Amino acid sequence: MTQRAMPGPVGILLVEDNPGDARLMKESLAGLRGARVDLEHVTSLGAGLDRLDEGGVDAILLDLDLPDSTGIETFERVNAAWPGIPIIVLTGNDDEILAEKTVREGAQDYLLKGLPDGELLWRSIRYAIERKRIEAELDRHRAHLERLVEQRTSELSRANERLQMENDERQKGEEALRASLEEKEILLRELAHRTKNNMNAISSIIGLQTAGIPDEKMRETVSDIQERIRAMSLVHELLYRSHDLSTVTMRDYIGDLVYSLLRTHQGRCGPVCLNLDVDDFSCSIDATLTCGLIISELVSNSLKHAFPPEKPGAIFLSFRQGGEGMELRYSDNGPGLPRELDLARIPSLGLKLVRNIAVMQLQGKMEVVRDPATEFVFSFGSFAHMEKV
Amino acid sequence: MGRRVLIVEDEVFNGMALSMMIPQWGCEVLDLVTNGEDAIRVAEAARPDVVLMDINIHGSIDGLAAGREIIDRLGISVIFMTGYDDDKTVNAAKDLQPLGFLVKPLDVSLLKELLLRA
Repeated sequence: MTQRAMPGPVGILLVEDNPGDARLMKESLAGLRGARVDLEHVTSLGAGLDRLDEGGVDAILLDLDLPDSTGIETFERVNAAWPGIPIIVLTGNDDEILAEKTVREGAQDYLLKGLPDGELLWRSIRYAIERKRIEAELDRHRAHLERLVEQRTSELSRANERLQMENDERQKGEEALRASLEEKEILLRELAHRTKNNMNAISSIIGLQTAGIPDEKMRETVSDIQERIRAMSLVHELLYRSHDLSTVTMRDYIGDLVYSLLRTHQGRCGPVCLNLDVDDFSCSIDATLTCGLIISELVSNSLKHAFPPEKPGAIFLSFRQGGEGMELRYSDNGPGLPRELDLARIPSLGLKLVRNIAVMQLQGKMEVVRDPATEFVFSFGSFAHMEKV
Repeated sequence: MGRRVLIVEDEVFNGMALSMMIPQWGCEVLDLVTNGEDAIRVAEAARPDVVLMDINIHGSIDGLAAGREIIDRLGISVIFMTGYDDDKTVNAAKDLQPLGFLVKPLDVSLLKELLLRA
Protein backbone atom coordinates (compact mmCIF):
# COMPACT_ATOMS: atom_id res chain seq x y z
CA MET A 1 0.00 0.00 0.00
CA THR A 2 2.90 2.31 0.69
CA GLN A 3 5.30 2.42 -2.22
CA ARG A 4 7.93 4.98 -3.10
CA ALA A 5 6.36 5.78 -6.47
CA MET A 6 2.61 6.09 -6.21
CA PRO A 7 1.30 5.30 -9.65
CA GLY A 8 -2.43 5.56 -8.91
CA PRO A 9 -4.28 8.28 -6.99
CA VAL A 10 -3.50 8.55 -3.27
CA GLY A 11 -6.19 6.75 -1.28
CA ILE A 12 -7.28 8.97 1.62
CA LEU A 13 -9.85 7.99 4.22
CA LEU A 14 -11.45 10.95 6.02
CA VAL A 15 -13.06 9.97 9.34
CA GLU A 16 -15.08 12.99 10.43
CA ASP A 17 -18.58 13.23 11.88
CA ASN A 18 -18.96 17.01 11.48
CA PRO A 19 -20.41 17.58 7.98
CA GLY A 20 -19.10 21.17 7.80
CA ASP A 21 -15.54 20.17 8.62
CA ALA A 22 -15.78 17.28 6.20
CA ARG A 23 -16.97 19.47 3.42
CA LEU A 24 -14.18 22.00 4.00
CA MET A 25 -11.59 19.22 3.81
CA LYS A 26 -13.00 17.82 0.60
CA GLU A 27 -13.13 21.23 -1.01
CA SER A 28 -9.63 22.21 -0.10
CA LEU A 29 -8.27 18.96 -1.54
CA ALA A 30 -10.39 19.08 -4.65
CA GLY A 31 -9.07 22.45 -5.72
CA LEU A 32 -5.41 21.37 -5.81
CA ARG A 33 -3.47 21.13 -9.06
CA GLY A 34 -1.49 18.00 -9.67
CA ALA A 35 -2.89 16.19 -6.65
CA ARG A 36 -4.45 12.88 -7.63
CA VAL A 37 -6.55 12.07 -4.64
CA ASP A 38 -9.12 9.37 -4.12
CA LEU A 39 -10.91 10.64 -1.00
CA GLU A 40 -13.49 8.60 0.87
CA HIS A 41 -15.44 9.90 3.80
CA VAL A 42 -16.96 8.03 6.77
CA THR A 43 -18.49 9.49 9.93
CA SER A 44 -17.69 6.95 12.66
CA LEU A 45 -14.76 4.94 13.87
CA GLY A 46 -16.62 1.67 13.21
CA ALA A 47 -17.24 2.64 9.60
CA GLY A 48 -13.63 3.76 9.28
CA LEU A 49 -12.27 0.45 10.54
CA ASP A 50 -14.59 -1.43 8.19
CA ARG A 51 -13.40 0.63 5.24
CA LEU A 52 -9.76 0.05 6.24
CA ASP A 53 -10.39 -3.69 6.13
CA GLU A 54 -11.14 -3.38 2.42
CA GLY A 55 -7.69 -1.94 1.68
CA GLY A 56 -6.51 0.72 -0.74
CA VAL A 57 -6.03 3.43 1.94
CA ASP A 58 -2.68 5.25 1.87
CA ALA A 59 -3.37 7.79 4.63
CA ILE A 60 -6.03 8.50 7.25
CA LEU A 61 -7.37 11.92 8.22
CA LEU A 62 -8.81 11.24 11.64
CA ASP A 63 -11.09 13.37 13.84
CA LEU A 64 -10.67 12.24 17.44
CA ASP A 65 -14.21 13.01 18.62
CA LEU A 66 -16.59 10.65 16.86
CA PRO A 67 -19.98 9.26 17.86
CA ASP A 68 -18.50 5.89 18.79
CA SER A 69 -15.10 6.97 20.17
CA THR A 70 -13.54 10.08 21.66
CA GLY A 71 -10.17 11.51 22.53
CA ILE A 72 -6.86 9.72 22.28
CA GLU A 73 -8.59 6.35 22.32
CA THR A 74 -9.81 6.98 18.76
CA PHE A 75 -6.27 7.37 17.54
CA GLU A 76 -5.02 4.42 19.59
CA ARG A 77 -7.60 2.01 18.17
CA VAL A 78 -6.92 2.93 14.55
CA ASN A 79 -3.15 2.90 15.04
CA ALA A 80 -3.28 -0.48 16.84
CA ALA A 81 -5.34 -2.00 14.03
CA TRP A 82 -3.33 -0.45 11.15
CA PRO A 83 0.10 0.54 12.39
CA GLY A 84 1.43 0.68 8.82
CA ILE A 85 -0.90 3.44 7.59
CA PRO A 86 0.03 7.05 8.43
CA ILE A 87 -2.56 8.92 10.49
CA ILE A 88 -3.00 12.69 10.46
CA VAL A 89 -5.10 13.82 13.39
CA LEU A 90 -7.70 16.56 12.78
CA THR A 91 -8.18 18.73 15.79
CA GLY A 92 -9.96 21.83 16.92
CA ASN A 93 -8.21 24.90 18.38
CA ASP A 94 -9.04 23.82 21.89
CA ASP A 95 -7.33 20.42 22.04
CA GLU A 96 -3.91 20.98 20.49
CA ILE A 97 -2.30 19.43 23.56
CA LEU A 98 -4.16 16.20 22.93
CA ALA A 99 -3.11 16.33 19.26
CA GLU A 100 0.54 16.71 20.21
CA LYS A 101 0.17 13.70 22.44
CA THR A 102 -1.04 11.60 19.50
CA VAL A 103 2.06 12.68 17.53
CA ARG A 104 4.26 11.46 20.38
CA GLU A 105 2.39 8.16 20.26
CA GLY A 106 2.88 7.67 16.54
CA ALA A 107 0.53 9.97 14.58
CA GLN A 108 2.36 11.47 11.63
CA ASP A 109 0.99 14.96 12.04
CA TYR A 110 -1.98 16.99 13.24
CA LEU A 111 -3.93 19.71 11.50
CA LEU A 112 -6.23 22.38 12.86
CA LYS A 113 -9.66 21.88 11.43
CA GLY A 114 -10.57 25.52 11.12
CA LEU A 115 -7.79 26.31 8.60
CA PRO A 116 -8.02 23.85 5.77
CA ASP A 117 -5.21 25.17 3.57
CA GLY A 118 -5.22 22.77 0.66
CA GLU A 119 -1.49 23.00 -0.14
CA LEU A 120 -0.59 22.51 3.51
CA LEU A 121 -2.95 19.57 3.81
CA TRP A 122 -1.65 17.89 0.69
CA ARG A 123 1.98 18.37 1.71
CA SER A 124 1.22 17.00 5.16
CA ILE A 125 -0.39 13.92 3.60
CA ARG A 126 2.53 13.28 1.23
CA TYR A 127 5.11 13.75 3.96
CA ALA A 128 3.14 11.52 6.29
CA ILE A 129 3.08 8.73 3.71
CA GLU A 130 6.78 9.14 2.99
CA ARG A 131 7.76 9.23 6.69
CA LYS A 132 5.70 6.12 7.34
CA ARG A 133 7.39 4.40 4.43
CA ILE A 134 10.84 5.32 5.76
CA GLU A 135 9.80 4.23 9.23
CA ALA A 136 8.68 0.88 7.87
CA GLU A 137 11.94 0.46 6.01
CA LEU A 138 13.91 1.35 9.12
CA ASP A 139 11.84 -1.18 11.03
CA ARG A 140 12.70 -3.83 8.47
CA HIS A 141 16.40 -2.96 8.71
CA ARG A 142 16.26 -3.00 12.48
CA ALA A 143 14.48 -6.34 12.47
CA HIS A 144 17.05 -7.70 10.05
CA LEU A 145 19.89 -6.42 12.24
CA GLU A 146 18.24 -7.85 15.31
CA ARG A 147 17.92 -11.22 13.59
CA LEU A 148 21.61 -11.06 12.65
CA VAL A 149 22.62 -10.11 16.18
CA GLU A 150 20.43 -12.86 17.57
CA GLN A 151 21.95 -15.37 15.19
CA ARG A 152 25.50 -14.28 16.06
CA THR A 153 24.69 -14.26 19.74
CA SER A 154 23.37 -17.78 19.59
CA GLU A 155 26.40 -18.91 17.55
CA LEU A 156 28.66 -17.27 20.09
CA SER A 157 26.83 -18.80 22.98
CA ARG A 158 27.04 -22.23 21.35
CA ALA A 159 30.79 -21.72 20.77
CA ASN A 160 31.07 -20.57 24.33
CA GLU A 161 29.33 -23.69 25.60
CA ARG A 162 31.65 -25.85 23.51
CA LEU A 163 34.69 -24.03 24.88
CA GLN A 164 33.36 -24.36 28.40
CA MET A 165 32.89 -28.10 27.90
CA GLU A 166 36.37 -28.48 26.42
CA ASN A 167 37.75 -26.47 29.28
CA ASP A 168 35.95 -28.63 31.84
CA GLU A 169 37.28 -31.76 30.21
CA ARG A 170 40.80 -30.38 30.07
CA GLN A 171 40.60 -29.44 33.71
CA LYS A 172 39.44 -32.92 34.61
CA GLY A 173 42.30 -34.37 32.57
CA GLU A 174 44.79 -32.10 34.25
CA GLU A 175 43.53 -33.05 37.67
CA ALA A 176 43.78 -36.74 36.85
CA LEU A 177 47.27 -36.19 35.50
CA ARG A 178 48.32 -34.28 38.59
CA ALA A 179 46.97 -37.01 40.84
CA SER A 180 48.73 -39.67 38.80
CA LEU A 181 51.98 -37.70 38.91
CA GLU A 182 51.73 -37.28 42.64
CA GLU A 183 51.15 -41.01 43.00
CA LYS A 184 54.20 -41.77 40.85
CA GLU A 185 56.31 -39.34 42.80
CA ILE A 186 55.34 -41.03 46.06
CA LEU A 187 56.15 -44.42 44.55
CA LEU A 188 59.52 -43.24 43.23
CA ARG A 189 60.44 -41.66 46.53
CA GLU A 190 59.46 -44.84 48.31
CA LEU A 191 61.51 -46.86 45.85
CA ALA A 192 64.60 -44.69 46.32
CA HIS A 193 64.14 -44.93 50.08
CA ARG A 194 63.85 -48.71 50.03
CA THR A 195 66.77 -49.13 47.65
CA LYS A 196 68.94 -47.06 49.98
CA ASN A 197 67.75 -49.02 53.02
CA ASN A 198 68.29 -52.37 51.33
CA MET A 199 71.81 -51.43 50.27
CA ASN A 200 72.63 -50.28 53.77
CA ALA A 201 71.20 -53.55 55.10
CA ILE A 202 73.38 -55.53 52.70
CA SER A 203 76.40 -53.60 53.89
CA SER A 204 75.49 -54.31 57.52
CA ILE A 205 74.95 -58.00 56.87
CA ILE A 206 78.36 -58.25 55.23
CA GLY A 207 79.87 -56.45 58.23
CA LEU A 208 78.14 -58.74 60.70
CA GLN A 209 79.06 -61.85 58.78
CA THR A 210 82.74 -61.00 58.84
CA ALA A 211 82.94 -59.29 62.23
CA GLY A 212 84.54 -62.24 64.00
CA ILE A 213 87.08 -63.03 61.34
CA PRO A 214 90.55 -62.07 62.60
CA ASP A 215 92.13 -61.93 59.12
CA GLU A 216 93.24 -58.30 58.54
CA LYS A 217 93.23 -58.70 54.76
CA MET A 218 89.67 -60.04 54.82
CA ARG A 219 88.46 -57.15 57.01
CA GLU A 220 90.00 -54.69 54.61
CA THR A 221 88.29 -56.35 51.65
CA VAL A 222 84.96 -56.23 53.43
CA SER A 223 85.46 -52.57 54.25
CA ASP A 224 86.25 -51.88 50.55
CA ILE A 225 83.03 -53.61 49.59
CA GLN A 226 81.06 -51.62 52.14
CA GLU A 227 82.50 -48.36 50.86
CA ARG A 228 81.41 -49.19 47.31
CA ILE A 229 77.94 -50.08 48.51
CA ARG A 230 77.85 -46.83 50.45
CA ALA A 231 78.82 -44.85 47.34
CA MET A 232 75.83 -46.38 45.59
CA SER A 233 73.32 -46.08 48.41
CA LEU A 234 74.19 -42.40 48.87
CA VAL A 235 72.86 -41.64 45.38
CA HIS A 236 69.52 -43.14 46.32
CA GLU A 237 69.53 -41.24 49.56
CA LEU A 238 70.04 -37.94 47.73
CA LEU A 239 67.53 -38.97 45.11
CA TYR A 240 64.97 -39.53 47.82
CA ARG A 241 65.56 -35.96 48.96
CA SER A 242 65.76 -34.42 45.46
CA HIS A 243 62.98 -32.36 43.93
CA ASP A 244 62.61 -34.10 40.60
CA LEU A 245 63.48 -37.66 41.67
CA SER A 246 65.58 -38.21 38.58
CA THR A 247 68.72 -36.13 39.03
CA VAL A 248 71.14 -35.48 41.83
CA THR A 249 73.33 -32.44 42.29
CA MET A 250 76.91 -33.56 41.79
CA ARG A 251 78.23 -31.09 44.36
CA ASP A 252 75.96 -32.43 47.12
CA TYR A 253 76.69 -36.02 46.25
CA ILE A 254 80.47 -35.69 46.13
CA GLY A 255 80.49 -33.72 49.38
CA ASP A 256 78.40 -36.34 51.19
CA LEU A 257 80.41 -39.17 49.69
CA VAL A 258 83.84 -37.82 50.59
CA TYR A 259 82.83 -36.89 54.15
CA SER A 260 81.28 -40.32 54.61
CA LEU A 261 84.58 -41.93 53.52
CA LEU A 262 86.53 -39.68 55.89
CA ARG A 263 84.34 -40.76 58.80
CA THR A 264 84.85 -44.41 57.95
CA HIS A 265 88.63 -44.02 57.94
CA GLN A 266 88.80 -41.75 60.99
CA GLY A 267 91.56 -42.80 63.34
CA ARG A 268 93.40 -44.78 60.70
CA CYS A 269 95.20 -41.73 59.37
CA GLY A 270 96.02 -38.23 60.54
CA PRO A 271 93.87 -35.15 59.93
CA VAL A 272 92.96 -34.68 56.29
CA CYS A 273 92.28 -31.34 54.68
CA LEU A 274 89.63 -31.55 51.98
CA ASN A 275 89.73 -29.21 49.00
CA LEU A 276 86.57 -29.77 47.04
CA ASP A 277 85.75 -27.63 44.04
CA VAL A 278 82.70 -29.01 42.29
CA ASP A 279 80.58 -27.06 39.82
CA ASP A 280 76.88 -26.91 40.49
CA PHE A 281 75.36 -29.32 37.98
CA SER A 282 73.02 -32.27 37.93
CA CYS A 283 73.38 -35.63 36.25
CA SER A 284 71.27 -38.72 35.82
CA ILE A 285 71.36 -41.30 38.58
CA ASP A 286 73.42 -43.67 36.47
CA ALA A 287 76.07 -41.11 35.60
CA THR A 288 76.26 -39.74 39.14
CA LEU A 289 76.57 -43.16 40.68
CA THR A 290 79.28 -44.16 38.24
CA CYS A 291 81.29 -40.99 38.91
CA GLY A 292 80.79 -41.68 42.62
CA LEU A 293 82.39 -45.09 42.29
CA ILE A 294 85.49 -43.53 40.73
CA ILE A 295 85.73 -40.91 43.47
CA SER A 296 85.10 -43.47 46.19
CA GLU A 297 87.99 -45.62 44.90
CA LEU A 298 90.38 -42.68 44.65
CA VAL A 299 89.56 -41.21 48.05
CA SER A 300 89.71 -44.51 49.89
CA ASN A 301 92.98 -45.26 48.10
CA SER A 302 94.39 -41.96 49.42
CA LEU A 303 93.08 -42.58 52.92
CA LYS A 304 94.55 -46.07 53.01
CA HIS A 305 97.93 -45.47 51.41
CA ALA A 306 98.83 -41.81 51.06
CA PHE A 307 98.69 -40.37 54.54
CA PRO A 308 100.94 -41.51 57.38
CA PRO A 309 99.33 -40.90 60.83
CA GLU A 310 101.85 -38.23 61.82
CA LYS A 311 101.54 -36.08 58.72
CA PRO A 312 98.46 -33.97 57.85
CA GLY A 313 96.99 -35.12 54.55
CA ALA A 314 95.34 -33.10 51.85
CA ILE A 315 92.95 -34.09 49.11
CA PHE A 316 92.27 -31.95 46.03
CA LEU A 317 89.20 -32.75 44.02
CA SER A 318 87.68 -30.62 41.30
CA PHE A 319 84.82 -31.47 38.99
CA ARG A 320 84.15 -28.84 36.36
CA GLN A 321 81.52 -28.65 33.74
CA GLY A 322 82.28 -26.61 30.62
CA GLY A 323 80.63 -26.65 27.23
CA GLU A 324 79.78 -30.18 26.22
CA GLY A 325 82.23 -31.87 28.53
CA MET A 326 83.28 -32.38 32.12
CA GLU A 327 86.65 -32.67 33.77
CA LEU A 328 87.36 -34.43 37.03
CA ARG A 329 90.80 -33.87 38.62
CA TYR A 330 92.00 -35.67 41.71
CA SER A 331 95.23 -35.58 43.68
CA ASP A 332 96.57 -35.82 47.22
CA ASN A 333 99.77 -34.70 48.97
CA GLY A 334 100.98 -38.26 49.45
CA PRO A 335 103.94 -39.91 47.73
CA GLY A 336 101.90 -40.72 44.60
CA LEU A 337 101.96 -43.74 42.33
CA PRO A 338 105.28 -45.41 41.57
CA ARG A 339 106.80 -43.96 38.41
CA GLU A 340 107.26 -47.32 36.77
CA LEU A 341 103.56 -48.26 37.10
CA ASP A 342 102.02 -49.19 33.75
CA LEU A 343 98.41 -48.01 33.70
CA ALA A 344 97.44 -50.74 31.24
CA ARG A 345 98.50 -53.38 33.76
CA ILE A 346 97.26 -52.04 37.06
CA PRO A 347 97.42 -54.72 39.73
CA SER A 348 95.02 -53.11 42.23
CA LEU A 349 91.34 -53.84 41.75
CA GLY A 350 90.46 -50.31 42.88
CA LEU A 351 92.47 -48.57 40.15
CA LYS A 352 91.43 -51.15 37.58
CA LEU A 353 87.82 -50.37 38.46
CA VAL A 354 88.51 -46.64 38.18
CA ARG A 355 89.99 -47.05 34.72
CA ASN A 356 87.27 -49.40 33.44
CA ILE A 357 84.46 -47.25 34.80
CA ALA A 358 85.95 -44.06 33.37
CA VAL A 359 86.91 -45.47 29.99
CA MET A 360 84.35 -48.17 29.33
CA GLN A 361 81.26 -47.17 31.20
CA LEU A 362 81.51 -43.38 31.05
CA GLN A 363 83.37 -43.48 27.71
CA GLY A 364 85.81 -40.87 28.93
CA LYS A 365 89.59 -40.40 28.95
CA MET A 366 91.80 -41.12 31.93
CA GLU A 367 95.24 -39.58 32.30
CA VAL A 368 97.70 -39.77 35.17
CA VAL A 369 99.95 -36.72 35.51
CA ARG A 370 102.99 -37.45 37.66
CA ASP A 371 104.66 -34.08 37.93
CA PRO A 372 105.18 -33.07 40.66
CA ALA A 373 102.44 -34.96 42.53
CA THR A 374 100.33 -37.73 41.08
CA GLU A 375 97.15 -36.30 39.62
CA PHE A 376 94.32 -38.20 37.98
CA VAL A 377 92.64 -36.28 35.18
CA PHE A 378 89.41 -37.60 33.69
CA SER A 379 87.62 -35.95 30.81
CA PHE A 380 84.12 -36.93 29.85
CA GLY A 381 81.86 -35.88 27.00
CA SER A 382 78.20 -35.64 27.77
CA PHE A 383 76.70 -38.53 29.69
CA ALA A 384 73.93 -38.84 27.09
CA HIS A 385 75.07 -42.35 26.16
CA MET A 386 74.28 -43.39 29.73
CA GLU A 387 70.58 -43.16 28.89
CA LYS A 388 69.36 -46.61 27.92
CA VAL A 389 67.68 -46.94 24.53
CA MET B 1 91.32 -75.54 22.57
CA GLY B 2 89.46 -72.94 24.66
CA ARG B 3 86.57 -71.01 23.27
CA ARG B 4 87.24 -67.40 22.35
CA VAL B 5 84.66 -65.13 23.93
CA LEU B 6 83.61 -61.50 23.38
CA ILE B 7 81.76 -59.94 26.31
CA VAL B 8 79.23 -57.16 25.68
CA GLU B 9 78.17 -55.70 29.01
CA ASP B 10 77.79 -52.05 30.00
CA GLU B 11 77.81 -52.57 33.73
CA VAL B 12 81.53 -52.54 34.35
CA PHE B 13 81.34 -54.61 37.53
CA ASN B 14 79.46 -57.38 35.74
CA GLY B 15 81.79 -57.22 32.76
CA MET B 16 84.88 -57.34 34.96
CA ALA B 17 83.50 -60.24 36.98
CA LEU B 18 82.82 -62.21 33.78
CA SER B 19 86.30 -61.33 32.44
CA MET B 20 87.88 -62.73 35.58
CA MET B 21 85.68 -65.83 35.80
CA ILE B 22 85.60 -67.06 32.20
CA PRO B 23 89.39 -67.63 31.76
CA GLN B 24 89.25 -69.99 34.74
CA TRP B 25 87.17 -72.33 32.57
CA GLY B 26 89.85 -72.49 29.92
CA CYS B 27 88.19 -69.93 27.65
CA GLU B 28 89.82 -66.80 26.32
CA VAL B 29 88.16 -63.39 26.72
CA LEU B 30 89.02 -61.46 23.55
CA ASP B 31 87.56 -58.18 24.69
CA LEU B 32 85.00 -56.47 26.87
CA VAL B 33 82.86 -53.83 25.13
CA THR B 34 79.95 -51.79 26.41
CA ASN B 35 77.77 -51.01 23.38
CA GLY B 36 76.19 -52.61 20.34
CA GLU B 37 78.26 -50.76 17.74
CA ASP B 38 81.55 -51.90 19.31
CA ALA B 39 80.16 -55.41 19.69
CA ILE B 40 79.52 -55.76 15.95
CA ARG B 41 82.84 -54.11 15.02
CA VAL B 42 84.95 -56.26 17.36
CA ALA B 43 83.04 -59.45 16.51
CA GLU B 44 83.64 -58.88 12.82
CA ALA B 45 87.35 -58.13 13.29
CA ALA B 46 88.24 -60.71 15.96
CA ARG B 47 85.78 -63.50 14.98
CA PRO B 48 85.12 -64.92 18.48
CA ASP B 49 83.50 -68.35 18.88
CA VAL B 50 80.82 -66.90 21.17
CA VAL B 51 79.49 -63.44 21.95
CA LEU B 52 78.10 -63.06 25.46
CA MET B 53 75.58 -60.29 24.94
CA ASP B 54 73.70 -58.19 27.46
CA ILE B 55 70.37 -57.12 25.93
CA ASN B 56 69.89 -53.86 27.80
CA ILE B 57 72.98 -51.89 26.87
CA HIS B 58 73.93 -48.28 26.20
CA GLY B 59 74.08 -46.81 22.73
CA SER B 60 71.81 -46.57 19.73
CA ILE B 61 71.82 -50.33 19.01
CA ASP B 62 70.45 -52.52 21.79
CA GLY B 63 71.67 -56.04 22.51
CA LEU B 64 68.91 -57.69 20.50
CA ALA B 65 69.68 -55.68 17.35
CA ALA B 66 73.42 -56.21 17.72
CA GLY B 67 72.85 -59.94 18.41
CA ARG B 68 70.68 -60.25 15.31
CA GLU B 69 73.41 -58.82 13.10
CA ILE B 70 76.12 -60.95 14.72
CA ILE B 71 74.08 -64.14 14.27
CA ASP B 72 72.59 -63.44 10.84
CA ARG B 73 75.39 -61.60 9.08
CA LEU B 74 78.53 -62.81 10.85
CA GLY B 75 77.28 -66.31 11.65
CA ILE B 76 78.68 -66.14 15.16
CA SER B 77 76.95 -67.79 18.14
CA VAL B 78 75.42 -65.51 20.74
CA ILE B 79 74.43 -66.10 24.35
CA PHE B 80 71.98 -63.42 25.51
CA MET B 81 71.93 -62.15 29.09
CA THR B 82 69.19 -59.92 30.46
CA GLY B 83 67.76 -58.63 33.68
CA TYR B 84 64.31 -58.57 32.09
CA ASP B 85 62.58 -61.86 31.39
CA ASP B 86 59.31 -60.40 30.10
CA ASP B 87 57.66 -62.35 27.26
CA LYS B 88 58.42 -59.71 24.67
CA THR B 89 62.16 -59.72 25.34
CA VAL B 90 62.34 -63.51 25.71
CA ASN B 91 60.42 -64.19 22.49
CA ALA B 92 62.38 -61.60 20.50
CA ALA B 93 65.64 -63.15 21.71
CA LYS B 94 64.55 -66.74 21.12
CA ASP B 95 63.40 -65.92 17.58
CA LEU B 96 67.06 -65.30 16.78
CA GLN B 97 67.91 -68.87 17.85
CA PRO B 98 70.77 -67.93 20.12
CA LEU B 99 73.08 -70.44 21.74
CA GLY B 100 71.53 -69.56 25.08
CA PHE B 101 69.34 -67.12 26.96
CA LEU B 102 70.31 -66.34 30.55
CA VAL B 103 68.42 -64.23 33.05
CA LYS B 104 70.43 -62.20 35.58
CA PRO B 105 71.59 -62.83 38.19
CA LEU B 106 73.50 -65.33 36.09
CA ASP B 107 73.48 -69.05 36.82
CA VAL B 108 77.25 -69.44 36.57
CA SER B 109 77.27 -73.22 36.09
CA LEU B 110 74.78 -72.90 33.23
CA LEU B 111 76.95 -70.23 31.60
CA LYS B 112 80.00 -72.46 31.98
CA GLU B 113 78.19 -75.42 30.44
CA LEU B 114 76.98 -73.33 27.49
CA LEU B 115 80.45 -71.90 26.86
CA LEU B 116 82.21 -75.24 26.99
CA ARG B 117 79.65 -76.78 24.66
CA ALA B 118 79.88 -73.98 22.14
